Amino acid sequence: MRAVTLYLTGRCNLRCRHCAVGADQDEHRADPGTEELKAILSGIAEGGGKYVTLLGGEATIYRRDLTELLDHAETIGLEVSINTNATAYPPLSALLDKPALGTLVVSLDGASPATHDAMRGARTFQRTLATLSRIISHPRVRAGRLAIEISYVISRLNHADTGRMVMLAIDLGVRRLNAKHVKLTGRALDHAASLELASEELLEAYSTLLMTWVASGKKIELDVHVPPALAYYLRARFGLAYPIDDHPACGGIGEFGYVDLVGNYLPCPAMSYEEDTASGMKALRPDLSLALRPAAEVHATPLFADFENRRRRRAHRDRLFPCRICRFSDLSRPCTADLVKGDETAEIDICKAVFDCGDSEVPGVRADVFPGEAASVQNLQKQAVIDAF
Amino acid sequence: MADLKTFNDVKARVAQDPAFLAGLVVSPKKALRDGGFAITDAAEITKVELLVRLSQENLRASARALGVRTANADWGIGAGCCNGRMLLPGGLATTRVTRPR
Repeated sequence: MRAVTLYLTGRCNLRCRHCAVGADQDEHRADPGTEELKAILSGIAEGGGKYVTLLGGEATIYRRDLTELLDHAETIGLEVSINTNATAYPPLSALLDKPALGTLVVSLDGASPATHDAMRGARTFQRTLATLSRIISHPRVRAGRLAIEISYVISRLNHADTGRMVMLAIDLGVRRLNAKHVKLTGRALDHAASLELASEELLEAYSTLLMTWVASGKKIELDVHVPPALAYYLRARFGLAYPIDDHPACGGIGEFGYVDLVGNYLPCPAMSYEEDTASGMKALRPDLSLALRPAAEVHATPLFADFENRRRRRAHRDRLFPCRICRFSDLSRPCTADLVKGDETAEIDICKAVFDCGDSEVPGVRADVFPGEAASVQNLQKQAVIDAF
Repeated sequence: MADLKTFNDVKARVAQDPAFLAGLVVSPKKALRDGGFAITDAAEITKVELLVRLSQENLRASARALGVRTANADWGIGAGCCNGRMLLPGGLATTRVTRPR
């Protein structure tokens, strides 16, 4: 449990189209209390955790206790990152001086008002840019003690901006750009038609993101998940030497944990009520509380043990597409959030994009990366014959 | 930005705008169209085509030559994945580094 994320509030001043926890904004649940959160932070530190991410909702606006939580984190040796939409500077200003605050991750989903506001709401781009420019000039940021990052979610509304986002991040002077494509969960499901990227768009967006990073002289840190199939395609098409290895998207319970709004410590946010109202996690389960139990005891519960066993066995290989036909499936450990939610038709979008469109620019890549396809088609044909009888 | 009306406009944009350069490598027709490509002179078009090919080769060479230096991200949450990996500025041969804080 090197890094744990705490979901502090569902309340938010925005109604972003792609919000994974949109249900909580429409129907508020009670936020956890300050003392409860401090007990959870203590439980994380005692369990060997080093980093905590605080998110919402918009915790900087709707929680009045962030300075107290940061002070507590400092006394127990935790380093904190806060995710924020940065639409208002005053609530952030009190936090920037706190030594425990090591990173601020600002959500910026477009390089212009047209694209960002389409995702997040009218006039949010100019407000976030204005706040960012004040944050960047803070003494702790200039001294390198507080890192500012941008979180950029790629969707159909803003995918043409991926190259410009790299340049904007460089121009703003942030340390890192974190880029990922939209997951259709929460409110994003309601807006799937406007958000979901076609395979060609997805592949082009990631290609442009990475090649702009190269073209810019790699002046910024770029945090982006590149599974082996995509790495192979990028190497074949552009010569980009991204490693094709077993870096897991899901680091497992040794790397990551998530505490939901009611205080359940979970191995995956997809198990929470805020991400899946069918999850059964609407109330606190005492056996999953870091405020009540040592982390080692929680890790020994069947919930954690089963999750970790499935991860170690790479159980996804037979259940996710195109993992089951991918030559790199023994290397991959992708996010299994969709499987956690019971979606047996789940796909790894970006790998499917390589499957769907890779050949148009790199002829033969589909057969190279997905040699299991031929066997899979044969099996389907056999089954069709059997079914006919 | 101004429309690309001459070869020199295209050349200047390639030099000044890495996002445009990347676009030429990934999807050249789209990059030129989105950039307001308005050249009709056949000789100028030929020069632009050569420039695009050269730019593509140069960028691919950069991608190959400098390699990619990576490190495990401390947080993970930034990219939405639970165990993020960073591409670091500059470039060395491919290595994996666990960055202590």
